[in-house]
Amino acid sequence: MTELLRIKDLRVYFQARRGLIGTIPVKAIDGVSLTLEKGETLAVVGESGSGKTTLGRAALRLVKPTGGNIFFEGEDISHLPDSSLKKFRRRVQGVFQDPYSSLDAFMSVSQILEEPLAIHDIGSPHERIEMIHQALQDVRLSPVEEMATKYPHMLSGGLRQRVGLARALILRPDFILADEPVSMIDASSRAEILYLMRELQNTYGITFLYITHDIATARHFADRIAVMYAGRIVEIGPSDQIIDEPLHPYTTALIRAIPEPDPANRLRQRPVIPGEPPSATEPPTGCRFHPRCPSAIAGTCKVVDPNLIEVMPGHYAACHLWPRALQE
Amino acid sequence: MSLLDVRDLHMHYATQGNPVRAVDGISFQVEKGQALGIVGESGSGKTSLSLALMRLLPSNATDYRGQVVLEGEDIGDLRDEDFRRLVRWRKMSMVFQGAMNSLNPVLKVGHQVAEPFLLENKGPKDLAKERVLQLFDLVRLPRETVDRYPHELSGGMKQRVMIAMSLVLNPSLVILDEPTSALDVSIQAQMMNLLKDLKRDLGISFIFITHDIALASDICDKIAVMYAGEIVEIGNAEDVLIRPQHPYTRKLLDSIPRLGSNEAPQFIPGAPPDLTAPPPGCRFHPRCPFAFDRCDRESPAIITIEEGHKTRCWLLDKKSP
Repeated sequence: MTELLRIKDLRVYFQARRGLIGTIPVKAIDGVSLTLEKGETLAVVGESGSGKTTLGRAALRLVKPTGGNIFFEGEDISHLPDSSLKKFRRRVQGVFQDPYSSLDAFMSVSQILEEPLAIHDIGSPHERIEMIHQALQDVRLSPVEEMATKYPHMLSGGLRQRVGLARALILRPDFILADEPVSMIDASSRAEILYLMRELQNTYGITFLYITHDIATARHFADRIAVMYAGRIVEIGPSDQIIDEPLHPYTTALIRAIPEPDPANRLRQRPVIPGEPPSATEPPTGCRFHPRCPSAIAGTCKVVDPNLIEVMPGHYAACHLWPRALQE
Repeated sequence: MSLLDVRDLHMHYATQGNPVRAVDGISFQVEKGQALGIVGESGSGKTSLSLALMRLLPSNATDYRGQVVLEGEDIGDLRDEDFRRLVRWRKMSMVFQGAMNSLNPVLKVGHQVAEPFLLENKGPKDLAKERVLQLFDLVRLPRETVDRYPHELSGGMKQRVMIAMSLVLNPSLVILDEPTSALDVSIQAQMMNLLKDLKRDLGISFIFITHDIALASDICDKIAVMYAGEIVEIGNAEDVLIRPQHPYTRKLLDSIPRLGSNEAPQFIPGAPPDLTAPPPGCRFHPRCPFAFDRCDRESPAIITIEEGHKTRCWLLDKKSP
């Protein structure tokens, strides 16, 4: 496997207003490292405020890191000025959560798809039409001639999201960030979009970073899962292992929180973790999950920040229940 | 006798062309202390159904008819003023989708919860305060939260405030429209546990509206599956979840990604129909893999599979040729 994207000790802080003149740093991402291999799908799973969206935006360099590095094919792009990013931008694309606001209502589908080609000055007018039709074909929006003339309001959420996917594809990128691409789509159509993404990955060898709050779709559509909590990765590993043998109590809690359609559910209380995710301005000391953790070790978890260690081959966790986390 | 008995309820929306048949002949019962799930995709009419039940009719509502009997009284016959005074909030209340974002930002939440109570009871304010504190205990909000403003609360806390508000006049039935859809999964699980407690300890009945049939299984005793303005299957949770009969229900269940199995989730090709011109015959037939020649001609009859388990599908008609 060859590495496409490597993120090393990434930190992204925002300045939030406090009072009239004061500001306070919001640590959206606070020391995240991960590597994406060419052609794989890595899901980043977390709740709101975990930093998963900021991580995705940083990977596209839509936000500038406060610290740490991002390497794309070995080149450090983390601190390049925007003017030097155009070549990188052509090779990385994004699909976003809301198919209603991420498409310009006054542009037809063909105009939406032509825009990236125009920005990067690709193809003659005739070639562009060919490319637009190919992209529509790729996301199965047919008949393509008719679809190209439609406006977003004429399409359902699922169809719009396919237009968003076609727009991301048209530059033949190596890497696509898919940030909650199906969370606003009916449950009955979600799998369709995700299968489509997988098919495109197989056809074109695209690498996906799939950001989601839904660990269940991550299981079925990602090769690996990274679980984020309060700006950190708390566990990362192969999808099946993360679900079947979670190592971090937070991962376990996330899995238990999701109901399967079982009529017996109503007769029992669901095991839940108490409280809510911490504030990103004042995260808890030690392990950030310790105030909610059912397995917290007195005297340790509150004090010592656990390192992410390899517990099983390729499967890492940042938790003091795995004793080596203390030492490394 | 059921707590709520709805028969052949209709509510359409007038448009410049054909009306939108959002609620098109809905019948169901809710038993005391039980929860009925209304499950369907967006545009299936589930929110319109709740508005019709609460008689909160949009200005373009038309063809509003049907029988609604609550606690033995035909509330469909009440004049609007009487409905407002005697039924809404008192006997039947509702938590709207996204309602937690419509809390008044400049009023303390305790005051907002007390408002319906103060309108109803002209008594001393202490009584209202007592009632609000009681409700905050019930939904497990710290008592000092009454003096907080909405922006000081998290999404989960605001949703608890909304649930407290719906209970202020002791209704016997609460309609919950996607009460957890804006919440994180760990907070959603806490909320579902709270609703289960309210149901068990206070005997409150719920109508739980959601697009997520798995979430419905977390509280509902009975589940109704809605498609294109109609209920296509209704039955006890066991019937619908374990022995689903309608192809749409089966497909809906197959579309849920299971954590406990490697079986990949499926999807339903196509989209729900335009309700100004629903397909002839069975409204699901254009998306149904089992449709046969009868399905696009005749609207399916309601077929009883077993006691309390009904579906609308020609495949299950034993008399079918």
